[in-house]
Amino acid sequence: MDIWHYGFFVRAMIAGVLCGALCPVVGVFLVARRFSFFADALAHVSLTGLALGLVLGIAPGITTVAAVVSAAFAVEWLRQRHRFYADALLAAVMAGGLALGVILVSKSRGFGADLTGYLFGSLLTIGPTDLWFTGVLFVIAVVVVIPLYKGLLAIALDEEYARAAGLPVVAINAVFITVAALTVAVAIRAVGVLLAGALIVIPVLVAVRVTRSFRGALFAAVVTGVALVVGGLHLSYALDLPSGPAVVLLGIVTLVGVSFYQQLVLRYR
Amino acid sequence: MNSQVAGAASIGKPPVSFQQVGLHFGGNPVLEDVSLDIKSGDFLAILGPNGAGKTTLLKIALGLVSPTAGQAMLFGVPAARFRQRYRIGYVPQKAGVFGDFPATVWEVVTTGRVSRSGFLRPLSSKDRQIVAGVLHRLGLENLAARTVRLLSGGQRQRVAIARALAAEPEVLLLDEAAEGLDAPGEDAFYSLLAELNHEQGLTVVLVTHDIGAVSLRVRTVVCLNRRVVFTGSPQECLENGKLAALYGMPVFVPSKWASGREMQKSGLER
Repeated sequence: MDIWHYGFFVRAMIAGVLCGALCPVVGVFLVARRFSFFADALAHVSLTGLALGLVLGIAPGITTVAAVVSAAFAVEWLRQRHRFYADALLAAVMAGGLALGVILVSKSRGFGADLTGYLFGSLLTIGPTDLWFTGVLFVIAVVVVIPLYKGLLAIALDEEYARAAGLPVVAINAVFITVAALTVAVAIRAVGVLLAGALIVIPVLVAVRVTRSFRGALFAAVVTGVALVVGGLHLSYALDLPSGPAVVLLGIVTLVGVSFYQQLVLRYR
Repeated sequence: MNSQVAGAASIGKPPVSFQQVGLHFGGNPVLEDVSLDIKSGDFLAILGPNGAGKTTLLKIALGLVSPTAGQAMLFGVPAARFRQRYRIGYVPQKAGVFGDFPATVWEVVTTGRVSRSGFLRPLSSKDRQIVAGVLHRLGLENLAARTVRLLSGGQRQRVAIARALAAEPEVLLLDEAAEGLDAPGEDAFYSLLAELNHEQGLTVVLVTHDIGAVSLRVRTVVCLNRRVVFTGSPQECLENGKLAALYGMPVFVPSKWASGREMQKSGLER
């Protein structure tokens, strides 16, 4: 029977495509600002949010989004105050989020079975509610990012210049990190806490190797993100692999392949 | 239209003015009692050794840093409350870098238009026309589709100036913007600024520690070492030993820049 007749696969594919398109949009601006670890750090903090929900008996989706958005604002505040230690701060937040998450998990009962799904994603088990959640976040992100594109580009290229030019950098950043945090929350569902950063960053790394403009990089990253999720899900189904790691590994193979091809072209041109 | 109205309201007010500006950082004075009016149409260099507070003074004018005493005024309005940022063009230190991310010359220069046209509106055909005009003026039109990170240092510097000019400013503030350019590149860079000042009446303020490169081209020199120690013409600055006092040692200015003299030994003539 054709896999497209299975509801779970169709749902996985729709959620995956939305996620694969959304993650690189945020990723492009994060990578351009040399802030790639931001997504990874937030993904790790999400485990704390998730565990909090389970311990407190609140829907984990809500506590996860709340934890990720709060952590995003905390990190941005710290980044503004301690510019030179931004990478170290992110490493600390990442470790702290994971540590607190694991401690809370150890205190909650009946969580062990789901942990693998949260750590590595479980697109193939995504339900209709999660699909709606992903769809709504996708629409919010698109509606917000398109009008802010000019401002985000100016900040990504030169934040100090953007401030001097009178752009409302703090407000634009606040909107952007909220979108970034929500994107991380979506990515976690697709590829899990440990791999969400990869889905945000890898398509961008592929894109910057094949484009020469910012807009081109954005477009190429979105196409790459969608292709990786679609390809990864097919691989996962065909070879019986966990879906999240399949998507991410396909991304790494693509990145290495594109880099290798470019080296060959450069050498023999 | 708005800028014309705003311009009319600020007629007679110096574009940039510092009023007893002071800044202390961690108990240490960075700037003390700096008062300076920069006149419209001037071509002015703020000279001083490292740590003299030059860049900080520029950032105070741009509203990026708040002084602990006094205030900077832009067209008669306190810098912190000045909303018509498009009237002030800024070329930052190491402006030629723009990160390693791919972005074309066109994309970088259009970001300069944002302060004039607003960041929420898409670029209008007039905006595109102005950006194209600036690229043509700076000889960058053939590079518009090129990736900025692949350009030479001098070309990137022009891109940074083009970005500032895209907002059609009345004042251009440059922070050590010739840093890293070789001699011909530096010459072309200062020639361009002189042209913009002469032909378009743009007020040009540049911060630098490079005495030789500016001494002949600028109209006014301000020597800064936490305080303003001298304001006057380049010639007066060289002849009165002000540079030696500023740098704490004799300063040699190559003949090329020193009005035909073989070698000007500023400070040793006293």
